[in-house]
Amino acid sequence: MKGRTIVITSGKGGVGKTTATANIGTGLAMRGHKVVVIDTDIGLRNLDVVMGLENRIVYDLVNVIEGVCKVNQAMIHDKSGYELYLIPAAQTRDKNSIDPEQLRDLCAKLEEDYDYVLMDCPAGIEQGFKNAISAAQEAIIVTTPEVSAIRDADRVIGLLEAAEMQRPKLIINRINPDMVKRGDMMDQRDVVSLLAVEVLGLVPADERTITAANKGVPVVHDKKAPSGAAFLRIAARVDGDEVPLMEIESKSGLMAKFKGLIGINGSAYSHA
Amino acid sequence: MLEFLRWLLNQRDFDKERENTKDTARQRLQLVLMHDRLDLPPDTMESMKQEIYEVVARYLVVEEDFMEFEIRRLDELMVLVSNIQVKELDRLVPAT
Repeated sequence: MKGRTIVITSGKGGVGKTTATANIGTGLAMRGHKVVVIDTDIGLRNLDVVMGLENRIVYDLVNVIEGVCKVNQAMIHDKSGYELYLIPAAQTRDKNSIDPEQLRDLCAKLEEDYDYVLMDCPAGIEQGFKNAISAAQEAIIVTTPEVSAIRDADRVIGLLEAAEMQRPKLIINRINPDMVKRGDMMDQRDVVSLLAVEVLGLVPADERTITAANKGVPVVHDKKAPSGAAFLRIAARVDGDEVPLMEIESKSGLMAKFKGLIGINGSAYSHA
Repeated sequence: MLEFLRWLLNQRDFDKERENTKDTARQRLQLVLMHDRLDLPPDTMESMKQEIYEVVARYLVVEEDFMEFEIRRLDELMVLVSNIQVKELDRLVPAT
């Protein structure tokens, strides 16, 4: 078996890399694949809490690389029961604890037994980023429709090209359909015209992403969550399915508007 | 109820007057990304400017203190724009 190693990166912090990694990883596992997600953000680990696995950590990525433990000893089986495993980042070390070659060797080894190896990349473009991108064959860029996130995404795309990575694909996260409708938020077309990359998926801003993270259960498990549905579609596309992109729209029916006025609906967005 | 209607109307008037901030965002980003991608260090830009000035000065009598030299966006294109002031219209070619 020859799995695929994919890095999830963004440049800017706080745009949803970790959420995307947890949800795409879970989505791929739900489709019956064997998946490993690796938190490469050494010193600032977070993928474990987003997935709700923080209490099960014994060994971490640095332990594996330094040979303190075997790879499978550091792999935490996800609560869902799917073939999904997390290798957590070390929390008390720094980014120079590992080098690109070591991470590449680890991923190559994992590719023999797993269909997908997803790496949650640290923000920034320093050593941690360099480690993660050099170990991956493919890249997914996460951005939000905001000037700062898009600028940083463009910088990262340039660096990925310089590293001769194949053309990265883009997730536009936290789209607010009401703002797009008002002309106060860039839409998919605007972002693509600026960044000139293929869009992998559009994810609406959704309170359920936050409540899911609060509980430590990735939002793809939430059948009612528009963002969860969007991430499932993204997982399908990563997996090679041709799922058309859907426009993200606010439900503008009379009832939704009325509910909106009296404050009933938290988020009535359809998904893409 | 009247209050509410007034509020509703105000909303609409307000919406008509204001610009679409996403267009502002996109236009600003176009320029920013262009500069980011260009990645020309200021001293390289300065020496290019100097050399171009010298070439033009070989053929025309030009003002020494006035030269505009910048990279700009022209619709979808990135263009290098330079303005050099030509002096002495009766004698365009510098004496050699």
